Amino acid sequence: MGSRIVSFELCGREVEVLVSPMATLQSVLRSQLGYTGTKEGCRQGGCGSCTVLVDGEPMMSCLLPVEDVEGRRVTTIEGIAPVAGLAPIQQAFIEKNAFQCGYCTPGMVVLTKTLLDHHPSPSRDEIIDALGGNVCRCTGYAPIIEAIEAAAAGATTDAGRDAGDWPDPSGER
Amino acid sequence: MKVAGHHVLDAGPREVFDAACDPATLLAVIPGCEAIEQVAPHEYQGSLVLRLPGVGATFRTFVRLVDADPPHAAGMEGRVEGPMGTIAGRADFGLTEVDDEPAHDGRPGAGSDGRSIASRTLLEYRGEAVIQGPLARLDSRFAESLANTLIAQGLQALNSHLIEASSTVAPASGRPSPREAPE
Amino acid sequence: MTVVEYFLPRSLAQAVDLLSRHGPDLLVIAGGTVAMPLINDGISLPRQVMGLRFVGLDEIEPSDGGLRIGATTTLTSLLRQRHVPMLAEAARRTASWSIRNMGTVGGNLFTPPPGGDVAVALLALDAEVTLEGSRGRRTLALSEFQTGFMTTALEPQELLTGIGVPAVAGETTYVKFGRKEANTPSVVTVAVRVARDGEVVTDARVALGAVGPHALRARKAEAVLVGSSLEPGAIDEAAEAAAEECEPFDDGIASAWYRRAMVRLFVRRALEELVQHVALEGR
Repeated sequence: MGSRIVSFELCGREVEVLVSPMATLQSVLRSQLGYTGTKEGCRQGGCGSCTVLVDGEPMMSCLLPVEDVEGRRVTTIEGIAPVAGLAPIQQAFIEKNAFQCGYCTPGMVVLTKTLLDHHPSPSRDEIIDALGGNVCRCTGYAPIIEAIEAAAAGATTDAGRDAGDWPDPSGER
Repeated sequence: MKVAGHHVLDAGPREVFDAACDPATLLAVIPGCEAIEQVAPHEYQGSLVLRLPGVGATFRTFVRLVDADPPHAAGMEGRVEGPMGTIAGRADFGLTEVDDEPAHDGRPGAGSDGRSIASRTLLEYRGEAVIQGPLARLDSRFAESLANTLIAQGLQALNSHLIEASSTVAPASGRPSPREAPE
Repeated sequence: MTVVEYFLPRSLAQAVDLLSRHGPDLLVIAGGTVAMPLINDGISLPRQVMGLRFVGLDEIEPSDGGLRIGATTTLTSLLRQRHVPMLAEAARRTASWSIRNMGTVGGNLFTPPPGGDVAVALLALDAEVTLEGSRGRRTLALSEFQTGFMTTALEPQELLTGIGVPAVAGETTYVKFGRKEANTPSVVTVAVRVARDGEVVTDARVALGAVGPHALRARKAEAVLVGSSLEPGAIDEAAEAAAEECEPFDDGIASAWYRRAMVRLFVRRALEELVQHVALEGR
């Protein structure tokens, strides 16, 4: 009983994957599809390190049975960067030193890029509100908030400088 | 995990004690109890089905009555084993007759003839248990809150059972309430 | 993970049918924000699970001056609606953006305290729940639906399909007090609704969260308020009554003693806020 093929759009590509019942999207991304940018943290929905976008809305992939994204559009950190270079929010994270160990960063970036897509110039309170579910145990949030403000203000250097191509995790590019 | 509490039951200590030692009564009043059998004079085993969102499962239960001093007090040692862990512990009960205390609704309590059928019992309980297995990872409040809810439901059911039992043996007054002493 | 079958019905009829065929061993989930952490930790070991994400119960619509909320409406949708501001506020103060995108209003009614805050606001609004199963449909007051810690009046063959918020009179205030500002379990949550005729209170609801096995109405506090003019003495007395009748517990967030003290404080503050609010609007 059990295993079935689930297909969905992942960072712009159609993927099909054979999954055991109720495998979480997070575990399928990491162990079956090679998209290891999405981190595994608490597996309780409490830390935000597994944040991905489903149809453009942030969700915790550790709480999402992969069958629930059948036919939907999933974007992970791997899909945030343009083909060449970095998204402005990524560049801002670098320039503002908005990470130390980096474990929370993929979730933070996916979430805050979405915030800026919805809300190009959020207030500081709106930024703090949006970050409520994403935990960073290193920086203390201030540099993260500054990075988001900088990205919103367009106050980063040209995205993509020195960044080079990001390898496609599936190795097809 | 620790639980403690008290509950007033509408029957005398003897009736309460006997009911608590009767497998048929226990089967009727313990929430989710699907089977119970007496395997020795003071030992019972059975199965308990918890239907809770997310943590529903069937548990095997073993209970032994220890230090029984009928109808005033008893201790119980037991184990509950399920797929997500084991709960093992001990509980102690005290039964005290409450007489002539007005009931919550203002009606009188036991009748003046002192027949136990119309008396009421204060049941006090205190228990401690150790949880092992995946269940142990839950906040202990979780197990305690759950235990308190199940105990409250079980005691309410026991009380209804006792009221029903006494009204069937004391129909003389024609009144269903056990608080009304029969002539 | 012990799941051998995961069903994703596409309609309520399919869901009811699955439930009657597989019985109470079928674990029903909606947003997954309560059940999945338990499953991930191996505390919940279901074999068969039904997800309600695609049954189409996610509409919010105004009805008879009130609101009909489908059981699988996300907390994000509840936050965005403009019909009942207290419900938007309750959603806003629940969990985080990503969790609100997943968690549902119906699921919130099964969430054990100190979670399940939306139920507190719904209680103050006299909400009722619709339960449907193979034997038909029934409605029940929310105050009768939650029966204990993680236990409800739901029959094994029934599903919670919707929540009805009637058109109710009065001003409302919602206060959630946690150890931090956002994404935090509650120390205590207070929702109050007071209807007045002139100065005199004609109807009052005081609902409390995180201080009992489920969301509770502080009925003694409500009785104190009815007939009063929300004068400071009545507010103090109601706060005291609520503190007395709540059933707080100890956990990693707060002790029972502290929770009771905070019930006294925040019931008073909620009522004072309501008085100020009405005074401002009256100008």
